[in-house]
Amino acid sequence: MLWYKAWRESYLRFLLSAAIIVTMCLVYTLFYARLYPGIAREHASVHNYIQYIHWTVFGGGARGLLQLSCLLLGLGGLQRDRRQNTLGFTLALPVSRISLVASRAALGFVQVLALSAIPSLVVTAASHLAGEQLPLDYALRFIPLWAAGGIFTFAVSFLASVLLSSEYVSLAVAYLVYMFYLAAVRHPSLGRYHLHVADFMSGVFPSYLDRSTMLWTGNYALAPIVGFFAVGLLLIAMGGLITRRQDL
Amino acid sequence: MLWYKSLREIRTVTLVGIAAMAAMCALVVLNQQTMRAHADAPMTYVAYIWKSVYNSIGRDIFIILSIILGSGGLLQERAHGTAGFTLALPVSRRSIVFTRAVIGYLGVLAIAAVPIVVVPLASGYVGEQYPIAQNTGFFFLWAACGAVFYGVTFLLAHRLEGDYISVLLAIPLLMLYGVLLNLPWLSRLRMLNIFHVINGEDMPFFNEARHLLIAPLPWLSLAIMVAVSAVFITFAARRIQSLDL
Amino acid sequence: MIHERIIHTRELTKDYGSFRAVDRLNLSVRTERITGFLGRNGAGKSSTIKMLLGMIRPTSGTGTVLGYRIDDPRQSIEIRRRIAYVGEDKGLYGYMTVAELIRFTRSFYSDWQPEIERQLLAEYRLPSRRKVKALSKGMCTKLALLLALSRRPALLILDEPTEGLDPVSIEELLQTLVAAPANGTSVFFSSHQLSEVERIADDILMIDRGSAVLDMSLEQIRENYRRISLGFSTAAPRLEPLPGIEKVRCDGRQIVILASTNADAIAQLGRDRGAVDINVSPVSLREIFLETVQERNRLDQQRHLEHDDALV
Repeated sequence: MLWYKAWRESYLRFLLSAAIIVTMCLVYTLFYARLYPGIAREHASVHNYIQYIHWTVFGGGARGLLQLSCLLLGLGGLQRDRRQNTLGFTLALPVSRISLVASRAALGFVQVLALSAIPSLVVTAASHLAGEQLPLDYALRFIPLWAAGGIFTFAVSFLASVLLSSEYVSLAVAYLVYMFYLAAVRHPSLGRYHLHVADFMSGVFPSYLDRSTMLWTGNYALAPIVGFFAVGLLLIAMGGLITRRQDL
Repeated sequence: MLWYKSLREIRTVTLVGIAAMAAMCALVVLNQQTMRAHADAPMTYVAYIWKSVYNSIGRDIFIILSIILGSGGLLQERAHGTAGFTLALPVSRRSIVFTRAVIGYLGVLAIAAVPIVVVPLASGYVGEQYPIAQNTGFFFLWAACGAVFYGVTFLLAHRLEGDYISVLLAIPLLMLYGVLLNLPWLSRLRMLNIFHVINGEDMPFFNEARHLLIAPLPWLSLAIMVAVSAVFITFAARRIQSLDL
Repeated sequence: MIHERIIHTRELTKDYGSFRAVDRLNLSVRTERITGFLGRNGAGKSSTIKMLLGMIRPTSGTGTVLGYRIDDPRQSIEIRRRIAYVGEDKGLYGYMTVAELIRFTRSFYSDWQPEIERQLLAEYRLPSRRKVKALSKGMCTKLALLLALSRRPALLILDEPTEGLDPVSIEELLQTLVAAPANGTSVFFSSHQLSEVERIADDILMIDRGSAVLDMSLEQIRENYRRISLGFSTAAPRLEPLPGIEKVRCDGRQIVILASTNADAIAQLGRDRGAVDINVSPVSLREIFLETVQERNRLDQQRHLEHDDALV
């Protein structure tokens, strides 16, 4: 039943995130005719529907929102229990702290995966309604990228929420660390390693998405998917180990 | 002493925000040579500072911190079980809300002021110059636009209970506002676009070629933004006034 | 598995930074007994209980509950599975309804007793569908008790269980606790309501500033503890120390002695030193508590004032 506790503590954030991402996908798709001229005028790289969808959804605002949602979903845990005065009850349950951490992390993974799948499914379906064509296999290829990037993002705030006791400080620190990381990996000395998670999620890693057409090339980002997923797992494992030793 | 309570509530986020903003400004300046050398097109130092601090990471950090500072307040206190104590103090709910709003906004201003100090100092250290008047001008732009981000979140935090819900809703709401600005009839009203006003992009008071603020700032628009934020905060106070806490 | 000592600790210590909350505490709690755990606020009771449950790690020292080591994370899970605990804050998940929280808690224990749950739900008149955060403090306490009592745990650990309860509920709870040892459940509870403790406890464990200052059965306390008043016709003489003298208060021609044992010999000593009026009377738990901790309290205050003066 620990998953139930984790779910009850995060379902509002999750459902709201899902609703916002769905709304955003629908707005960009169904109001394509009205929004396209303004966006195409401002961004020279947007010439057709697929590029528009990539600019707005897969590599744009919807992706940013997924990242934010993942940051927010990662927060909570035993430090939250302490703030809410429920830590005594939680720690008195006959389960290990690792189980508490693992249940929260596992549910977070499922939630991130579900959020990652939304744009591919919603945009493809809504494109038909809007009289536009977006191949399903084109959209589906973003799901693993968003899921791996999302889990990595989730793990950053997950770790922050273990280390810091104040809810808004942990959010601020998680966000700032994330921003500094994004800025640092843009540094020329690190640029060749392609560590930028937003670029990875947008599919603009040089070898697998053609930047001029925004269509997939023959390669796929298997190694980065495994890499980001592994780093995410590592951060969560660190969170688990720290929680085990914490004097709460 | 309500101000003291509010200050203690926002102190850590504000200090973390100030430190992060200072570190960001310093790192941007100290890495200027490498970053400019690897840029797609050659750019001046002034353009580099604008693009990095005022049109990129610095602005993004500022916006999110304004939003985080706007969250919190009496509804969140209820979740922590301290609302009873606060409401038992011999002060009106309006005073509690307004004090929290003012102190939180001072936190926003403090973070917005960091580049005024750090950018010129760090620029001098690397042998470059960035006009302090430009930093000051952007401070006013950030202060006014930050007031809107702050006010929206403050209102949401006083209407909706739940962890981080105000933050989660404020950002898409502001993004939706940004999307709607692409609609033809709205795009004509340039001063409505706070995402452009905040960094001067496409604005008559900003020279795109030199990346400098050139004309007097749109003081009326900035004042309207602060007034809009004050309206949001008033709505928040009215909501708390009538709420059974 | 029956252990004569259901809780046993040796030199148990807990530091929070430079503050020592529990100081080399040696505990020994007997099985199928009701043990009252007494102490002032901040004496180290809650920290001790949290260490016993494996919720916080001891800084040093060891201990066992039901034979399981409290400092081993795996064994502490077994401890929590076999005992029931109600914390001092009674913090429960406010976002769940009463029914949801019961369902949630039930899932962790195989010894859950649905009939006791139903009986307590009716007895406490808890509204199943109401959210926990909408319950009054007393209702929350009742719900926390229901979650703990709806099982047949080997040990029941309660931290201030009657706080916030109305007199009727307090009475019902005390009756439940009195009946617990007959069902094989030992009870270890902390309370500031000394009259309640005196009514139901078999053993008393008193701590102050993290160390045990009294560890005795209530029966022994009643048998051995005495207040001895010695009245003299002239100024009271100084008495030489005797075993059993815990506290001596001298007031003009009168000496009042708190004795933990040896009352007859102490009275005889008074007689030998010329006491004209000797009165030996039983002592209540409340008096023992106050005598034991008040002296330390006075010393603390004095030290604090001296410290403040030095700062000025």
